[in-house]
Amino acid sequence: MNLFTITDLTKEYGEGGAKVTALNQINLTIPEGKFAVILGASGSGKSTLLNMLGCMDKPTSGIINFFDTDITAFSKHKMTRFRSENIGFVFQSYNLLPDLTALENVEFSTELAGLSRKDAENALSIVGLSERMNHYPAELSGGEQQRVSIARAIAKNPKVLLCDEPTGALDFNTGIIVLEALKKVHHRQKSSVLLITHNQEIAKIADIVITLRNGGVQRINENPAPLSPSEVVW
Amino acid sequence: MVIILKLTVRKMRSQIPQLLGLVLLLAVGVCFFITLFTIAWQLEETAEQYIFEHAYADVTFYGQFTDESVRLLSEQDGVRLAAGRNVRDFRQGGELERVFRVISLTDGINIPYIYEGRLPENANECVILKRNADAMNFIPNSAKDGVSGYGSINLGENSLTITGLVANPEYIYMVQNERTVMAKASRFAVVYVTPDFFPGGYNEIAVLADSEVLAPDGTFRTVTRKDQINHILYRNDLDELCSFAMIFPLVFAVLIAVVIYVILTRTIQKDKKQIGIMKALGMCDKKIIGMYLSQFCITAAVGALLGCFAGVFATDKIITILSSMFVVPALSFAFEPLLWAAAIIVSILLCAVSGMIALVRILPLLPAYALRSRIPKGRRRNTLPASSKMNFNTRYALKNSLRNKSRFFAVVLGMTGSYALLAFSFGFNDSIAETQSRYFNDFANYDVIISFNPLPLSFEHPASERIGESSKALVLHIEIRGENYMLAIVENNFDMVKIPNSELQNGVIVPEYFAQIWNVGVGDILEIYGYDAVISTITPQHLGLTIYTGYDYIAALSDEIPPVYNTLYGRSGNMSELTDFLITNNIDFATVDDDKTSFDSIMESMEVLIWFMILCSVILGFTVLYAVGLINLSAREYEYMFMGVMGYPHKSILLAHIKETLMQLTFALPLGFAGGYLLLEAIKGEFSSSNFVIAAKIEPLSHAVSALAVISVTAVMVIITSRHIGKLDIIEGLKAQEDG
Ligand SMILES: Nc1ncnc2c1ncn2[C@@H]1O[C@H](COP(=O)(O)OP(=O)(O)OP(=O)(O)O)[C@@H](O)[C@H]1O
Ligand SMILES: [Mg+2]
Repeated sequence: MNLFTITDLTKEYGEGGAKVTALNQINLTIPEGKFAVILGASGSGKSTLLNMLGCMDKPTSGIINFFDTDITAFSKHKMTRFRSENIGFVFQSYNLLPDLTALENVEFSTELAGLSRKDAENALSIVGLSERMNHYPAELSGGEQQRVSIARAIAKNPKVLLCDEPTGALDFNTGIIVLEALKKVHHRQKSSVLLITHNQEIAKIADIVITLRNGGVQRINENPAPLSPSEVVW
Repeated sequence: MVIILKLTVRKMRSQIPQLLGLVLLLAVGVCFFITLFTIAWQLEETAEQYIFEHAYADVTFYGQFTDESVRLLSEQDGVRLAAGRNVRDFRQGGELERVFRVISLTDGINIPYIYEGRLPENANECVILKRNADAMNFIPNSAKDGVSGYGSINLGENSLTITGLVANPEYIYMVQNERTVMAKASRFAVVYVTPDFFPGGYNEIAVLADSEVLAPDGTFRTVTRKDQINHILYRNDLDELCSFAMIFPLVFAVLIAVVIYVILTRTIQKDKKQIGIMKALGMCDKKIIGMYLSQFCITAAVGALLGCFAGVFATDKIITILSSMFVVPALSFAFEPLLWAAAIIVSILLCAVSGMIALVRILPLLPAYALRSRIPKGRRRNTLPASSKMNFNTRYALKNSLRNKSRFFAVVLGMTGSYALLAFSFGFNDSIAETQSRYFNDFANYDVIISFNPLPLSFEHPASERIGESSKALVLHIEIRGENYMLAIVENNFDMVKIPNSELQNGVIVPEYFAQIWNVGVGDILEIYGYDAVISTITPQHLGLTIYTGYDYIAALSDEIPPVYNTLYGRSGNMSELTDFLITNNIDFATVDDDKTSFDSIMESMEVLIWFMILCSVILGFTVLYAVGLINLSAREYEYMFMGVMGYPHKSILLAHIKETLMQLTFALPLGFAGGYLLLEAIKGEFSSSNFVIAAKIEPLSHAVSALAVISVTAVMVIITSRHIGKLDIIEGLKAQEDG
């Protein structure tokens, strides 16, 4: 069964002269349980697509099916429920709540999903941050913040992990650590992962590579032998 | 819930200054409300009970009566009790002129409330109102001649030993006569004696009755309880207290709502991204609302509770202050749970509603948009022409004010409100002085008013030859539309008060205030004693409001009113010789100085209230200006930092800020000017009665002081801002831009 089935998806921003077509009539299927990478140049519509899949925004037209359910028909309330039940987000700019410690940031998410503090602590140990869980985001490095953000996304064991350039702001070594954490989660929790990057090398660790261009799907490549993060270099 | 709670608490901690400002505003507003309403409710409850238990007469007849008239009256249907009594004023001349009103006690009507001592038992003893004893320094001197007394009073040839200190519901206010409604307790005293102090006969009958009572023979004037000046003043003060209790907190409420709106709008804009994150993680709107509103509701509850407790202290303080105006024994603070609950609930609702208004703007956003940095409002529309001749500062200031209208106008509103309240409070003081000056300088043209039993016009009163100029008048208490008013029938050339006396022959001259409440104008008909009198003109009057007309006009209207007079208005002549004569002959009189003294004591008692009002306005105004200023500053922080990053020097950033502040002042000062008058006009009616009509006026000095106060606080805010801009960290500014 397919995780996402996307039909004729279009997203436009603005009106009149200022109108931007970010996604133009996209058709795409993403199978369950895969590690998929979305590649594309800046402005090609990657983030826009991820937002639609994560029920963070509504398309202008078209349909997205999550398994059998049309998520584009959701009310705002259902969109919120869908996000808290099924989706884990990892943002490019970490987006941690500055008033909460690392652990509390993760707990924030588990609490919403009705899970316990133990789950939050587990998630932090998966990303290797058990030692620093009582620090505030301002006291953590960028890579550490990003790993907290991953812990927050995986703690509730979501069906899908959506990651928008999680390594964009990180140096090579830290980037590798973050990618390894994601792979580990993918294997352990059997979550499907969708990862945005504009880095061709990172695409080598994926099962599927979707390339976007000017708001359309340029090509889809299956990767029979994905590398492990430690094997890629950029 | 644990984490959300933690987050809420931490968010509150990070904006303690704003929340403290809010607590202060709420506390002051609630304190005002609780204090005034507690006093009003307690006053009504205590006073009504006092009136009932001490049998304040339902009707009083004035005239010449015998035991027989009292007996006949008691047999009337509906009369529960009737008692004759004598009331006579004794004047002590000399350097310390004092009036002692001596009243004979009755069995069961107008019973004194005894603070200490006992009632008199023979004609050589008396009790005196406690407030008089306090003001005149009658100190207890124990066990003299076997009677523990408080000194004695000499009235002509009599010397009375004071055996007790009392209060009486008929003297809640020190009403000496129609014009001297709040006599000074050191100049006018009320003394109760046994009936045998006076020889036979009575000049008053006090009645307790369940229905209307027919006046007995010999009645000269009938006054029901509700028409007694003492009672009217009491009811008026109750109403005034209630309307004060409403108006001030209402102004507070509006300002509090604006402050909360501004704080919350600001917080939410700042937290927009965090709200986006929370939404992205699946937190529903209800929880987000709960998180933000609970901060304000907790603050509201804390502020309101503080206000309630402050009210406990304020209430007793204010009652002490008010006791120089009126005395109701046993009036004190009482816990009114309903009032407290109302204050707390309204405060919370106020905060919740104004918070909701701020929240609804951001909550409908989908997380994808909430996560983005804010698009400046009107970015495209308000770009000012670069070629403009205006320099950077002016352009920047102008642009800011256009870009963030609600914040700009919140500051303007804060300034306006502070100015208006200050100008109003000072203006209230001015208005009372103005009222006094209009009466004594512009209206009253007499030195003395002498009252006696009616004499035929052709008969000269013995006092008239001792007065330089005098004028005869018949002063009557008449009923118009169910209320009591004073009518003075005067001679055609009457010039003892400034009225257009050429109009005396043409009809009745009506005070402006009456014309307003009756809704009548010149030429309209007014029914007096069943006759249709024409209103010939309307004049402004402020004290002892009286309808004037001429003997000629009354004669033409009816032949039922005989050509008699009961009042002499007099001017100049030898005043001290005249007063000596009047005192020795026991003739009732009041000099213009008496009236002035009485007015001064009204002023004195009001002054405390006015200063209380001014103090509240100052606290309120400064709190608002400070709170709004702080919010404005924190909103600007990033802008100023960014300007610093771009290389604008501190001076030019500050100059931009000053220009914006000046612009706000330009809006606020004229608005506040108008607002002050509006408030004054609105409250003027509440303070007006048939005895006292305020002439609204705000002196230029009051305006100047109010404006100066607002400008000073604004200047302090600018200094704080300047220091803050100086301390801004450019690195942090860059980081903030990155984050945004
Ligand atoms: N809220 C918005 N309003 C207007 N235009 C937008 C908005 N969001 C995105 N766009 C436009 O839509 C297009 C696609 O944006 P998107 O963020 O999906 O690109 P992206 O592939 O994620 O690029 P990058 O790699 O730089 O993040 C861009 O041209 C962008 O300018
Ligand atoms: Mg992007």
